[in-house]
Amino acid sequence: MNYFGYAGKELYIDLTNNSVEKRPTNFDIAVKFLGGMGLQLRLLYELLKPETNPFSPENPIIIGSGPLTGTGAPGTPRVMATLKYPETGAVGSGGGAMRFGFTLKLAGYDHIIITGKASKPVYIKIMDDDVQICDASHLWGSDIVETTLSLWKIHRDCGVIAMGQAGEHLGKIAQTACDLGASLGRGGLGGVMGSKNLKALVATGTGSIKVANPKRFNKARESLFERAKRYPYHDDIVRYGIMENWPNYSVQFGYTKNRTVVPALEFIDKQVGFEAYKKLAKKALGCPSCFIADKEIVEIPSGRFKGLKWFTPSYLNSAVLSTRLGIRDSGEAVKFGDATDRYGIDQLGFSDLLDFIFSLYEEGTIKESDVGGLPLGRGDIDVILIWLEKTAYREGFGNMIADSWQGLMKVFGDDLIKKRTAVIKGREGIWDPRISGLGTNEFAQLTYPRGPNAESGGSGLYTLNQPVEAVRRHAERMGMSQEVLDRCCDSPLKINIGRFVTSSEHWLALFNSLGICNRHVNNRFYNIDIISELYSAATGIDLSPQDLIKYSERVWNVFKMINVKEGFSRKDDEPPEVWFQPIQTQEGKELHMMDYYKTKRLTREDVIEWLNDYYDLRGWDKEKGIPTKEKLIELGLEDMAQDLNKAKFS
Amino acid sequence: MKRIILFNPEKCVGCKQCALSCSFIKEQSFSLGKARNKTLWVYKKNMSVPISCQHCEKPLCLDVCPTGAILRNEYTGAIVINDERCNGCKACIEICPFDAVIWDVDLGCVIKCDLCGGDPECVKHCLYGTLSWVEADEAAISQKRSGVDYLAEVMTELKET
Repeated sequence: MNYFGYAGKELYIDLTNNSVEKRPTNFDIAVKFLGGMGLQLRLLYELLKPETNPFSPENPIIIGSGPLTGTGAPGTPRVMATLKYPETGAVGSGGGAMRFGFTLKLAGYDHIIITGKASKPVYIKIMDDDVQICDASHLWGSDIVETTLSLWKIHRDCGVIAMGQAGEHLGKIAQTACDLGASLGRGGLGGVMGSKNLKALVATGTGSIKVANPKRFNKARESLFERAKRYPYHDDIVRYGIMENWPNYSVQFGYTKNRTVVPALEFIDKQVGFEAYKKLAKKALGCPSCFIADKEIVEIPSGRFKGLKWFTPSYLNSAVLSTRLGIRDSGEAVKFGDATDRYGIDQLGFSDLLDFIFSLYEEGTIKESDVGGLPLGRGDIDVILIWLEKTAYREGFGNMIADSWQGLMKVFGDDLIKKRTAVIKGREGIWDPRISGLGTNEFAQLTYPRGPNAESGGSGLYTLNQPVEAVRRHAERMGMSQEVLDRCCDSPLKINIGRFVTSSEHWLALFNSLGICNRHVNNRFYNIDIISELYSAATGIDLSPQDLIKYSERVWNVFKMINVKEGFSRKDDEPPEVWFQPIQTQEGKELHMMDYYKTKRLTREDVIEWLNDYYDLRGWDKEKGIPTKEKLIELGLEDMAQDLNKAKFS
Repeated sequence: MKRIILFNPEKCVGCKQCALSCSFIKEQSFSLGKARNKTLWVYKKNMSVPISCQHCEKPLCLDVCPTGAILRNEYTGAIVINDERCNGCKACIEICPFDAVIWDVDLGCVIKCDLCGGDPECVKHCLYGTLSWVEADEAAISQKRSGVDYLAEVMTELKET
């Protein structure tokens, strides 16, 4: 069979039996669930038994890209890693990019499904038809940078996914890196790979991706290039990467002292923010197919860490997280980011956990002896580096940090964590609605089935203070129907966020299933019509904009159902108590959670009402917060509707 | 005046749109193995390096070809292949310092960049300023030569390791 868009093959790798099997991709299923996140979740729904220990050989890992990956559609390098994640016990698809997904596709595979556990350290090598499980004992113990460099040296120009010492020690906040420039699998992909003795994956591909209608495909592709060429900020974004959005992000993520204080930002800017960033040497890098590259290698020009080079999606994360932990030097911020990435630890999660510990210490609730004698000093890079090392190797109190909030609940009790943190489904979300208002990014953290995530589909509310007309335009771009848009705008607060988020989620599912990068800078060029053209021309299957949104809704319901099977329900979507307590600015002003347009201080009842509106628009059971039988049947998910009948779910 | 592609390798981010565009215009599919150009990740330099035919002033491939299958297009200045004359000896592939000549296993002959007849697709899809299509005046040719020196250095290093 000739495959268009899709590569056409799946790789099944059983590490216990050391076996490699190639099967043709089921085209009908691939189309029905679009690809990427959708297809992988559908497959995992069959393969993963509920309540499986994430570190057991029975937890499969599915890694792969989407039907647009490997075509010249700009910004389509995305690779998804779908599995049960240990940090939250939830199932979902972490997203990454750089070369691996792209080279895997050109090697001829839509995805690989890894099961079992190897008897000793291995890495998987995929070079077109030649697929091998190779010895990795010489790599075990190495950090992610060393591992990746070793593999690049042997295999030359290839895509690499690697985990570090944190993964080897089954860290629940251990992640991987794709070619050093993209992180993949926050929530413990690194740890799950560690439990399988799987150190890395390597892929090169010399094959081709065919498109069914090249002329039609190229027309849509060229229209995207034309837009990008006309975009006046293109060069700024390449020059500054994600730091280009520092004015927004520094405000939105700038909280510290366990989310009780928003510091004054002026001096931060000079010491560790945008002004400091501009003094670093920098090389811009991009993923395959990207036309607005924003990744970078930065180098510290002077000071204690002079000469250190850090390959990163962006300096921004470390700038913000350094602020949180009291670091006031850009060289130290780079060192923090580099060390974290080498061990393969989720820097966002780690920083939340450490900020919490520091805060308890500063208020006198704990002493250093309560954390096994580890030093507790905010603002000291050496203290942070010690904690990183202990976390990576699960030594002393680092062992509790490696278990994320599950670990801290064992030490401090569930109650304290519930009262004092913004943990939702076992992890804290990055967006604080008391600072930026309860927009889509903030609200979506409640309903995201695998625990709060930085992504929320890049909706019209992605940046602050968008006027309603702009929001309506973005909504139409995202494929929101007029009927749904009218319902979303039917609110005394101008926008019903609960309803709007359903469309943000569909937009995200679409991008993650097709392989399109949903970063704001890329996302902004796409609209539902162009995606419909690209998909239809690439695959030869005509899916209209309405079809695509319907299929995305189907993908979202699979995402939800695989987590319903794990026991997640409405109780896990509740807003954290801290959202209803004020956060202080450095000047002593109190900020309360308000709506996106900052017109009304929101109560718990307001948020619950929007949650109800969310379930209602989704056609889900409001009491349980899960899909109904009718909705699943409507979406062609009859087997999942049957599963709802089982006693466990009711 | 003829035009040439100027390479500015420091600006290359490794997006591969040059190769994706080349394979698409020539093959109507995305077949990087058949693109007449490529970007190579040179990890030692932390750089992505765009590699393509330089349409040399003194082309080694043209000189070494035993059947006269390689010639210069008078209009564009590009070094091109007459596939009917190619006997598949691959001497041109061996001798090119830029690995710019490729064996097409389906056609049974060599393929290479022909500047798309004077309207190169790669340049149109490079949004980073790595590739530019400029008039071949003295300044451009001088800049091109230094770019070529750098490429040759990278290729030699790659072949040695």
